Amino acid sequence: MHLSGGRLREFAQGCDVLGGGGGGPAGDSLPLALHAVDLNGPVEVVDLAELPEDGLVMPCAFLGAPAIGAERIGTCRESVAIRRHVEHHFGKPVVAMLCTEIGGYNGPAAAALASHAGLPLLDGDGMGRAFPGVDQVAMQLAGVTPGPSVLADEHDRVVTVHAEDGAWLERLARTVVTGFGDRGVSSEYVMTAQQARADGAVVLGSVRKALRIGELLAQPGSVVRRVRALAGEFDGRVVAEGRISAVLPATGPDAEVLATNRRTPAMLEGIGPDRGRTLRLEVGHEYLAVIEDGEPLATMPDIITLFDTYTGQPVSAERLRYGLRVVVLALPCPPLWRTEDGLALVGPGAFGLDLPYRPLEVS
Amino acid sequence: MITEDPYPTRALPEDTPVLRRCRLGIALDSERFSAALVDGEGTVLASTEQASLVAAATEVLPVALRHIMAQAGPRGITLDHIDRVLLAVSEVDGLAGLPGSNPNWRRWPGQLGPVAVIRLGRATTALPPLAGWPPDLHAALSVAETCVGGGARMDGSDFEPLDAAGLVAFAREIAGKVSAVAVSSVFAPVMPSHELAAAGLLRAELGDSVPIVLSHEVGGMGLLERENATVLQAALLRRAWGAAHRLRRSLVDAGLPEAEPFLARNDGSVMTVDYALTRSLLMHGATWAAGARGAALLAGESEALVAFTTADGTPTAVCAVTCGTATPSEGPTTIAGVPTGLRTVAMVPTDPPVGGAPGPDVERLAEAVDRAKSGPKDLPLLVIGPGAEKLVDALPGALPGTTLVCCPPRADSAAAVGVAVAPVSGEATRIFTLSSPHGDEIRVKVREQARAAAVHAGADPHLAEVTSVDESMVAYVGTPTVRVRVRAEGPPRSAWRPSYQRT
Repeated sequence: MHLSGGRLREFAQGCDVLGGGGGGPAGDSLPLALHAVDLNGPVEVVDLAELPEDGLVMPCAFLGAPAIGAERIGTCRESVAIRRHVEHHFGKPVVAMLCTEIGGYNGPAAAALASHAGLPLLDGDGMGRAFPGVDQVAMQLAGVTPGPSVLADEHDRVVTVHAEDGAWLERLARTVVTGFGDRGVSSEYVMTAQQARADGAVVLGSVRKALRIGELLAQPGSVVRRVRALAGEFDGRVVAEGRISAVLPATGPDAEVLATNRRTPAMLEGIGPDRGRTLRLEVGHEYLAVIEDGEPLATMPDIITLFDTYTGQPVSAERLRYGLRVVVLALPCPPLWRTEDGLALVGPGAFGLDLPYRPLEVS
Repeated sequence: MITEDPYPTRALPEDTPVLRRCRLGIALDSERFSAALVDGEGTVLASTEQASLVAAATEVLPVALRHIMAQAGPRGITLDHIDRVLLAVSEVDGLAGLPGSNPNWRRWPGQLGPVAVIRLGRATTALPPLAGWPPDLHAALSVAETCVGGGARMDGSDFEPLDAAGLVAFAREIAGKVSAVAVSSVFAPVMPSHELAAAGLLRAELGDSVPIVLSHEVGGMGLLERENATVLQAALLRRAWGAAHRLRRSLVDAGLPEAEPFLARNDGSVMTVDYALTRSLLMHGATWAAGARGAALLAGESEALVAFTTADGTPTAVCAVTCGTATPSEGPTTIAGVPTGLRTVAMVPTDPPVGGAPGPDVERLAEAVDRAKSGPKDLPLLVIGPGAEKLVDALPGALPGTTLVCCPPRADSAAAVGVAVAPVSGEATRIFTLSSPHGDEIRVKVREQARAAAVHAGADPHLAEVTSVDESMVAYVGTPTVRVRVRAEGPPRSAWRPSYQRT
């Protein structure tokens, strides 16, 4: 299967849905991917089984401040330099690019980076959705060594960071990105195809899933109808249809923008068939939980996505505001996040919520 | 005619009371126009709202003036008292050449461009200039595009050294083939020096008759959106030039040779015609902004919602007003299929949801009202436009979410009143590290820059003052960095020295 043109657009739409309100807009990186395939031809999407055992799978993602990335859009050829250094370090060829985070901006960005690096894109990713933390990836859970971290800026300046554990790696890598001027591309958790085949080392099928979601949303009919079709196909649930009746002031350990645990709760008042219901949304960088009468209907790490019924588009957590008419969809997260270790890393508690995780009940 | 006198006589003697210096506001919609005359104290002396077959300012002006003077004449007002004419155009003459979603826009592709596009910043090829533009627009506008070394980083240091030789080589390639050049540069709003240097080099090669539009003058963060807007402005220059000339001439023909024309902007303020020449995109959506301002003023409500109507009393859209000004939209504004950094009024149309059937007017209006609000608080709903009274009469009673629904006096000409009383605004933005020892100096400078920008756009230099200062942190950067945005406003200058005179 290949990604290009219209398929890339549908893929990007699916990435926004899987972002669960976070990850940045996929629409911003879509033009980069479209341009890359214009230049280099369609991006091939490969299955893990097709890859040679000893070949390397290279995750890649953008790092830094969105405000800087908006000016320094880069070349998307950062992946070429990173690939060279990774191959040099490991002494093996890279055989596929792995999207670190399928949710939001990094989805189409991975397609662009793969295209320029001359690599196929593995049908999978590190999260199956969007998370704010660098270490909130399947590879971490599966025990893949994060280091070395290879970072590049748009002028082919490359830094390779080696450290004894993930915490030091992240600390030093952040310093490097600051040195680049708060914008760069990085690769961590490089592994062989054989390592990637270990149970749960990679979230498989994410690229095809995003694409299929995009296809379903492109169908005619009302937004509720499209979202219902999506829920049906992916064992999800249409939680409610409503209007945002309040966005409350930020809460959490501190209300700073950067704090991982920053939360801005919002209230949703049911409309149409849901009239009379009142739901509470916990909102961080992503949608963290939907609660009704004190009972969580869906929580992290399951994917909660809101669709604006007037545009049909997913609403990012940043753009949530009073008066929006939305349909709330919950999709189950990849099974690996529902394990004890998975929940310790990305369960409700990791986002400052004092809620038990209860797997999504499919209606 | 060139006059020797550096200070030619004004239309009004020096001792004319400010009160008698009147502003004529005219707002054009596709098939209608409204006009209003406001005196120095802001009192509306006359207003009118009419159907019009032609949505061109030059055609509407004499008609509007006739209606207005019929009301104002008996109150002792003569044409000599009108020293400023302010126009709001929703179908921008200059924009009319762009193919857009609005089928009412006329197309004049022959009058767009041709331009050349230069981006300073070589390592930005993830999306080269104009990549992703609709192919026909790209082909119609641009002769050539290039990325050459240059640009800045956020801290103001060089992103790349300026590639002067590359610029000169490109200039020689395009010489004689373009009517304007658009130059953008990485972080130009923070550090415009490379754009200014590039303009100097280009001018030396291309001569003074080829206008050069620089992205830092267009403004806004986000390289691609700012660049797109800069290219559109450059492509519209020739057309804007012609439109400005016709507008000034029509003032002379209408008996207002000494009145200075101003044009309405999308933020509810106005600007001089000279200023608008290189910024015609700013007129996009200006009639809505003027309508919202006028409605708030006429109703005496600075926090409200404003509903717009068509002549048959159908509500079309709702917007929110805070501090007397329409709330701007959040995202980028797409013009002719191209995303730009422009911020227009956040209009909530009364259209049904995607795939939904349109309900009755009242239901759709109530829904639009709720969607336009920024919070649950009930607000007054001000209904304006040609069908304002009809709509208010047709409403069955109270509307949910509103404290009252009213049709302010002169609601049909609210947009004309809004543009007649609009101030001239200017903005300046600076980004610097929080630890900078020059922080306070920079803050003072930004304030002065904002004031200067307002004066540049035509504000009275004696009365322009800072109206808002917004300081915020740039998210996710390693070194705490602050962004200061200052806005200044002042009334449009009067007693202008005309640069155009009919000989």
